[in-house]
Amino acid sequence: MPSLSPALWLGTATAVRGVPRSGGGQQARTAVRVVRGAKSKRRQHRGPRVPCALGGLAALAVLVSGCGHEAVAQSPATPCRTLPPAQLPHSAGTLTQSDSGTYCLHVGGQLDVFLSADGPQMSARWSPITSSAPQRLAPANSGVLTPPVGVTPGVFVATAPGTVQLSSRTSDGKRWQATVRIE
Amino acid sequence: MLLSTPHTRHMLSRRAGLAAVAAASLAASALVLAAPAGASPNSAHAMSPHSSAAQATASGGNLAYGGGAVVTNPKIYIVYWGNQWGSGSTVTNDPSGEVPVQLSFFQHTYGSGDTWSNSQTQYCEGVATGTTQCNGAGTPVGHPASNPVAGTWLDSSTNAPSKPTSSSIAAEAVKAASHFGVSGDNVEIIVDAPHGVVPQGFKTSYCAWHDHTTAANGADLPYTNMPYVPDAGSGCGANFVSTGSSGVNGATEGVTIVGGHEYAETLTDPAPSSGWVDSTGSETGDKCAWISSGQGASSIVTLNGADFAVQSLWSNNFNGGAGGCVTHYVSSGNQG
Repeated sequence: MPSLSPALWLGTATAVRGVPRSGGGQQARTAVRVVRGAKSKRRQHRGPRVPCALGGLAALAVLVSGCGHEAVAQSPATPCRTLPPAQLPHSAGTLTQSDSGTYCLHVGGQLDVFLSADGPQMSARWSPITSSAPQRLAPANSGVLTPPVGVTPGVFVATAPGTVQLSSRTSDGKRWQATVRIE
Repeated sequence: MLLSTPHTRHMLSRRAGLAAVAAASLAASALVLAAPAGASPNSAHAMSPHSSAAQATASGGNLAYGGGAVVTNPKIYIVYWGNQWGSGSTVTNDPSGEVPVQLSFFQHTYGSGDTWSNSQTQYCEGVATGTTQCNGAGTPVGHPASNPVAGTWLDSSTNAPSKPTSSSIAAEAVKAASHFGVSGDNVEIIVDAPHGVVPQGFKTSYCAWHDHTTAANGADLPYTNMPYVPDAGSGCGANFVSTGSSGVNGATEGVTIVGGHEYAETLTDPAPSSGWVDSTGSETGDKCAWISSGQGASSIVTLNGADFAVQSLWSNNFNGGAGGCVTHYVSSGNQG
């Protein structure tokens, strides 16, 4: 079972708890998860720490990966979700700016991400989508498609087990982040 | 993909543009498909664009060869998928006029009169993996000497699903290849979805995409998922380029901008991603998509006398080898 660093665990919690940007207008068009100022919220969103001595599933996880953050990250409190349906060939699933949280992906699987700029002028485009661990979730050929005007595409392939954050931001300060648990 | 900038020397006269449109209309009204492999419906005609704001970034450096095939002798086959297009063999339901514009565009991409797609002939196959400048080595991407459209077919034997999956699109491409009797990397099967049909992800995630599958005979088969692009409006290129006096219809600019993007990428990377891609995985069109001003901006170009809206394509040997987006290419020393 993969071993997770505290930093990765924190990132997972942040992504899960991203909150919608306040205000109406163009921001209201989508349920964009904004993690602006998320650092201050990280601890409050942590799941309960599970003592190694406790039984059940947590104990099983502990036996495999040891005590500490690893056990918490893989506890039932932070399960990974099935990816939304794929929109491209060869893909395991597709994420958009309205998706956040932790998603499951198998080694060898392909994940596509499409982030759409808000508003009629699309002045705030999303930056290229980055992987926190390209050695585990590597950028792949996104060139097979023509994106709509204002859409930032990203295609990634899982190459090794672990937990990885995908992120992007706009020039007006919005951030998007999701976590991928590769198994 | 990126769009390229307009060049006045490529602008068609209004007269030529109108003539092209008229010809396209004729072609559409009499569109009879069923042309088996090798059959080549002729006619063609033009379109054009408007402008708006958007741009792409050209990061990732030059394209590099991945060791696979390129298209050395392009042959285009178009299948109009489903009886929503019309019954029998004639397209009758094409409310935005996509069919004549698309057909005309590809029918004009050949010879010295096409200095738009010619830029892709600098790429090649049969050289060392990682190569960025062929410089005459290997076998280059082919540039058709004549109309590359080798067949069109209205597959009215079925009803295209309202939200086709990628696998169903691939299956239709295989079916069309069998109809035409073709396969291999020199073939591009374009699967045209009818008006109102929305392949999964169309409009929100993509305007079109290309891929490859396996033909019934086991050979490789490049194909393109080409939704009814005018249904997406400005998101997929409607009125992206100013039409000026070209006679191009802004509403269908996306048909040729997007279609041209996928065509160029199929030429250079028919079996993704074994052809030419950059370090970020972008292909020739991606690096130049939706540029609205400056070098590489989308524009209206004249192809063998007819005007069309196109985006620019990436040229490794532009800017002294640094690369850039170009809309016209006569040679490495005459491009821009």
